Amino acid sequence: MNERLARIGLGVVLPASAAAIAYLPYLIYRDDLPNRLATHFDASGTPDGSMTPAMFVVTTSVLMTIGIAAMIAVALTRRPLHQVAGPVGGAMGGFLAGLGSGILAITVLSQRNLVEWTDASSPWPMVLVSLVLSIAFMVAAGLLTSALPIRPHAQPDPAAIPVMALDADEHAVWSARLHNRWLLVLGAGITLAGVVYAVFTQWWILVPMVISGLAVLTFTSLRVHADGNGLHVSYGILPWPRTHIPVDQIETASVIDIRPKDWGGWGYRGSLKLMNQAAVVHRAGPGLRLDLTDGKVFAVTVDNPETPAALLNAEVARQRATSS
Amino acid sequence: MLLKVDLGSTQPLHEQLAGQLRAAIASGDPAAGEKLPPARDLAESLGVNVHTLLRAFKTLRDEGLLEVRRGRGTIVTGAAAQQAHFVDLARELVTESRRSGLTDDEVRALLEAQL
Repeated sequence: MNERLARIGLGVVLPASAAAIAYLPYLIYRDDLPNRLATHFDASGTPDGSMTPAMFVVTTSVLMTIGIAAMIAVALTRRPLHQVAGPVGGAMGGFLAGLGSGILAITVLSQRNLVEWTDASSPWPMVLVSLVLSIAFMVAAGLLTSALPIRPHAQPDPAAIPVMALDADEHAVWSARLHNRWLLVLGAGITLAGVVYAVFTQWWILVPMVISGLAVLTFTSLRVHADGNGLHVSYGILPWPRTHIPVDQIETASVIDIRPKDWGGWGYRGSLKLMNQAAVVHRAGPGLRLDLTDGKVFAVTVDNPETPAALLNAEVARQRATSS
Repeated sequence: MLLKVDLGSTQPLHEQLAGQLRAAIASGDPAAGEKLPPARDLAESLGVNVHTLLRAFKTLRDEGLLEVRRGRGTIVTGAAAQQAHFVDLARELVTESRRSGLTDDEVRALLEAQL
């Protein structure tokens, strides 16, 4: 997408849409609102807290303004954005702006014509609608941010780009597995805690706890495989998701020292589509870095990354020799 | 674990693969107890028939370096790394003595004498 259009979309169109969604219903129906709005509900959906409409407008506006400010700040940044902070800032700005405006709009629309705030109906449909709205804003802001220039990565260390000697008739494959016992313990712990908590308190807690526990468990083992087709990474025992980077998309393969804080933590960090970089961080230490032909960077922690780096560089050279 | 084959070499592919696997195990990667990647995936990457690779697996199983467990895949045995080293030495002894014209019986006698 055109960079100028993306800046206008992120800095003007999205903020204006959020403001319109927030304030238009309020301006139209302000005279039909009860003296106080129901703003807090107990677990069964009965209202148990309230605010004056003016106070509620201020509260939600604060939330929305933080989001709008973040989007405008990203849109106005002339320098290339930080690889992680830029896209995350844009997307989170969109989320907050959508959330603040959604809550205000839906509350006004659903509580107009009420006599007393205690008559308000269950908030769940409203929560769902505001959540969908915030996610829509987040996705839109994320996509627009991804069209803005991103700070290029430091070049790979030239001393860490090995090349394997491969004759025309030689084929090679490299395969490795990586296990992380701490992640296994953590994943099992979260899953079990979810089950225990669900048995003794609310059952629905099971769903998010088990999903996040299984997500961690999926990452406890990795299989990384390099051959003439490129690099393949598979996670855990599941057939999906998988990562495949074909040889013709690789510019250079090199050896790096992966520090989780540089990549945003552990797990699958970043996104090749949205953030121009992604890393599979399983532990701190040696890793394989791939600089792709379109300027993106992919990294994965493996033991002895010299071998896959050398193999992939040899395959890249071979592919270029045959295609030219 | 790195495996390489030379499709243009006169040495049979299954022998090349067995040699590569043995060297990999002797170097400790894959380590004892570790499961080998699926033979199908490895064969596909190397551009060889899966039966050629399975033949190499079988050779190493007969040498006591690999263990094939039904449903669990192919696993490197406990003492494999050490064993692989001796298998390599034995092969070297056989190759060298044949090259210098010794008969197989003479090689056996030579080993017997050392034991």
